[in-house]
Amino acid sequence: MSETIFSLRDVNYIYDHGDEYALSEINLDINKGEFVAILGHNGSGKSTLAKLLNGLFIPTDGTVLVNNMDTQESKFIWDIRKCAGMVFQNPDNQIVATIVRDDVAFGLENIGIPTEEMPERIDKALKAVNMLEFIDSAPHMLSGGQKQRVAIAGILAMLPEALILDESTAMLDPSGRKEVLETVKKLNRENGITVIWITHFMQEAVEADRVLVMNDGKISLDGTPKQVFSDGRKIRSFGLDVPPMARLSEELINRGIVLPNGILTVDDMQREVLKLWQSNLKM
Amino acid sequence: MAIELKNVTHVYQARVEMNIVALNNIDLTIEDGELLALIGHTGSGKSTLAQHLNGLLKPTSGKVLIDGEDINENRSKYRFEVGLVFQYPEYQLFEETVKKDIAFGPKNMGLTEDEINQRVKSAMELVGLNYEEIGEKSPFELSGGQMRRVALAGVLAMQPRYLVLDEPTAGLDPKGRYYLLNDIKRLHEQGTTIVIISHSMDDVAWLAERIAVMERGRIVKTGSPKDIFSQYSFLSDMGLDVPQASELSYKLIEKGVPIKNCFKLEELADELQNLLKNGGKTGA
Repeated sequence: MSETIFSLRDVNYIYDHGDEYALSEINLDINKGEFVAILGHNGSGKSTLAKLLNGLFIPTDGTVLVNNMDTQESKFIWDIRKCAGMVFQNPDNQIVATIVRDDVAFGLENIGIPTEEMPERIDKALKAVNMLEFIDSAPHMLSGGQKQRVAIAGILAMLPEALILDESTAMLDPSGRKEVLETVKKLNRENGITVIWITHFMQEAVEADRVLVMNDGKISLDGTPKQVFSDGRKIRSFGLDVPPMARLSEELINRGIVLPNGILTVDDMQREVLKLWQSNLKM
Repeated sequence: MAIELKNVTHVYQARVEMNIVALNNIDLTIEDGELLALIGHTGSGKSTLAQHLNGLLKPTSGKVLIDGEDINENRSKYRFEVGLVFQYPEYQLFEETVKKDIAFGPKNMGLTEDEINQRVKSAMELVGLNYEEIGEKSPFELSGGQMRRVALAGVLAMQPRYLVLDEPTAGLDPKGRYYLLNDIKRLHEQGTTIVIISHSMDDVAWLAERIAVMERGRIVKTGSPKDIFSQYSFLSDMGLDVPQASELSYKLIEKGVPIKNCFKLEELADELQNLLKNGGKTGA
């Protein structure tokens, strides 16, 4: 039986200045080691949910447990933040120091790690995101993808169990996006770090173990990428889209070609087309 | 009638000693009425080039001509001819209401109150924003996609003949992206010449009539989307994305499947239907 890291019960959230529910009736368990992608149009509640997961927001009603610590209780707040670190959208807004090393050290200072422990933690964290060679560089000389990896290292140095990435690839170019996603996948696979990946890129969600679709402050779909993207009409009704290969598969099925469910990538589609074509040749 | 770049080179002042040349001897003609996409990875010079098109940056050497006239000889004349929409333009919204924000440009042009109102209305209409509903709202109450369209309307209200958009869909959700791309398409159909910079090859595949590929401050290739996207290895070697339809058709062709290279999903669906239902015998 796997252990849960995040557990939300009957969670509602209303922003201070409003009377509308940004989130309502959220019940959700996320297991340790899961890679969960969260999709949803702007205003659907994705970022609000993310901010509840590490105690940046406290639920209006209900409870949020992080490793069994209730985010309502202020005595847990530092332990919760250490356990679940957050990476934001804009790489330039989260770099605080003038040298990569100091930037990674910043979080460690905040949580009171003794100075002599720092170098090892910093080295390890930068190594994990493949940025060790830039330890003495100035962050502003780095690319967007590199800056985001430094931001991730800043969290890793605190030895978290979970990483929450709130559209952390939105402002990056395709190679930067790939770089960050690969880094996070590796941390999930090799170090067992739980990943919450919020994105507008459907193709990125394909890489997750589990996809949540938010709409109107609720979780509307929850399943594997194959399950979630199997119903294009439903996905589009939430203001989203299916990945291109799933769209192609819909098109072909509409034209009477028999394809299995759940084609999401170019490799899937290539395999299926080749199979069909070769069996046609034999006939 | 066109924008012509002739031997345009741009060296950023601060970088002279580092010998980083942002644009290197660019020759490019943007024909009236066309929709040109500039692609290339980060740092290839796309945004620098865009900022030359309305005189925001001056070439270190070479010339930018509109209708044969050097725009840097008469910058105020061409400032309003070429509308430039920056990356994340919603960061530049600042007025109390949507109307006022969009009116800012036309006001600077010295138009009358009536003309300004008219322009604000029609610009909002062009980008699908309801004048009555949101005109009086603060731009900061709107969704990200709507804010982006307000920023675009602010440029359109100056009624530029040429529109240059730098990463117009970056950071938008799928719906916001879809609306914005439709706006761009509509503007183009109404005769505005458009230059779009994008990392999203799906957007480029959907919109562009011609593509210019930039690398290290040079234009290394121009061609139709069909030409460019069929060169799968060239693009991926440059670290660029390729529309998934192109990638799939390239990989299938490599395996000996007799289909044409397609960069649009619908076209590829036609090809595959033909292949799988008729054994690929017809049409070829």
